[in-house]
Amino acid sequence: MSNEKFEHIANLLPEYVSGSLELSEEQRVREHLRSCTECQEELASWQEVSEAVNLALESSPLPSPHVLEAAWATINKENSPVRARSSLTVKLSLALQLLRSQLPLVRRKIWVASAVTMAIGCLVALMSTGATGSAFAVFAPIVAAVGVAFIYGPENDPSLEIALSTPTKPRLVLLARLTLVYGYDLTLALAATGVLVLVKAEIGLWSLVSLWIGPMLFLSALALLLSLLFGSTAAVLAAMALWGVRLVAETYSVPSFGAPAGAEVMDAFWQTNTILLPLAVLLLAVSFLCVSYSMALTQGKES
Amino acid sequence: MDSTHIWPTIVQITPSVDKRPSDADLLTIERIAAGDKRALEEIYSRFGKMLFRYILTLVVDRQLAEEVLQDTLVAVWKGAHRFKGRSSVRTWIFGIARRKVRDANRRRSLTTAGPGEAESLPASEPSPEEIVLLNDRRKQLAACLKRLAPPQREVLALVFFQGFSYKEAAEILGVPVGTVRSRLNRAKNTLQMFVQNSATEKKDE
Repeated sequence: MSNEKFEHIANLLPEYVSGSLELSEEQRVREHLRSCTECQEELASWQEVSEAVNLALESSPLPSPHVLEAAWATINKENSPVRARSSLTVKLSLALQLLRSQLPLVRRKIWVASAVTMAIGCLVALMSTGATGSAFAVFAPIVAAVGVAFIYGPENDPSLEIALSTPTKPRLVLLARLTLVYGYDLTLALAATGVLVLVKAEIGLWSLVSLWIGPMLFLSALALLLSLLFGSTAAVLAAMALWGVRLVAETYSVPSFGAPAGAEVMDAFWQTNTILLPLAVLLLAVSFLCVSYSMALTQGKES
Repeated sequence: MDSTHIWPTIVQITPSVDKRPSDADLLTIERIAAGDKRALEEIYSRFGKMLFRYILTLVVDRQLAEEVLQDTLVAVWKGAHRFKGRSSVRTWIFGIARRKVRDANRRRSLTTAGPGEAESLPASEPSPEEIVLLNDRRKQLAACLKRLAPPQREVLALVFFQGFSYKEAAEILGVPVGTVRSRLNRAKNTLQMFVQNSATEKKDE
């Protein structure tokens, strides 16, 4: 037998003893052992060592039962404040990133059109003789409704394909854009109200805000839901029609001869924020439930 | 009772750790990465005992060994998301334990006056006389294990008690496979020499 082969097989003996050789190698060693007395002796000495090691270690003590508990204590002590903080910062920065990423995807015209319309509303209210600024309250809701109607859906989204293939949930995208447009319109309306209050001292800030905030939120929420279900155009038309009817009803609501039935009821409805706001929230909730479903439909249609 | 007969003359020592499909371990680590506390408990009940015995081959002080085991668990919990499956879970965890032993020794050598000499020369080291009196070669070898230098004792434990292959042991130790082999040979020779010497010392008396 060559010395080289002996060296090679002898090197494998510890692993042979411990059972960690691959099957083919194990067979090779076994075959070689049959004819090589040198390796048999070497094997016996390794077996002896292996047994001694097992004998010694098997009688070594076991860890006390509190080790795992102590580990948990360390983990909780080290991690909880750090983790909570980091996850909050991570969430905040993710939200900011999401908002920033959605900003360019909202139609640019919405920003300009909203601002212009709000400004017109503000001007009209300034020129009108009413002491409540109610003329402005006519503009704010419909501006927001039209803006919101265009934030979502395949006809408005140049990046839909990307959006569909990214892990960001449709709901999250909707929420981000809604936050942007709603926030923008809300800021505009508040700014316009501020201007009106400053210029016309007789107008109360909160009384004017309460005039438009309820209708604005409700009408936009309705427009959003309609845009998800039937498309932006339908939503805009419906919102405008509804708002138009309201304006007409308002003109008739002054008790006079020949007012259509229900005009007073309708006017009262649009002026009660306690009804409008919960309804707005409800519509928003339905929209969020709808969005995943309608996205799935879109996806199905496109493929 | 003489326990010699319980050792069959030729035994193929099966690895002490059962070799379940490593997929199951991988899944457990993924669960830990996701923050599943029960998964860490599973890892502990699967490897805790073996890890502790491995740690004890390097750290003689039992309390320190328990600290190292704790540190290892904490490190597994924190590092699970970084585990990429390049090695087996078992190899990975033993590698962590080894680094934690080194950290603990460093800590200890900073706090106590002397360097970690105590670990290589435990107080309970048997005298030659005691070894000869054991009257059983395996027991004699086992008793002499304590006199080995920790790196040699460690490699014996990894290969024969934990059932790691050379390659896995090399990964855990962070050395080439050739070093594992030579360390193993040296460990065996030293061990045999210890037994031999205690026999001659006894005779010379």
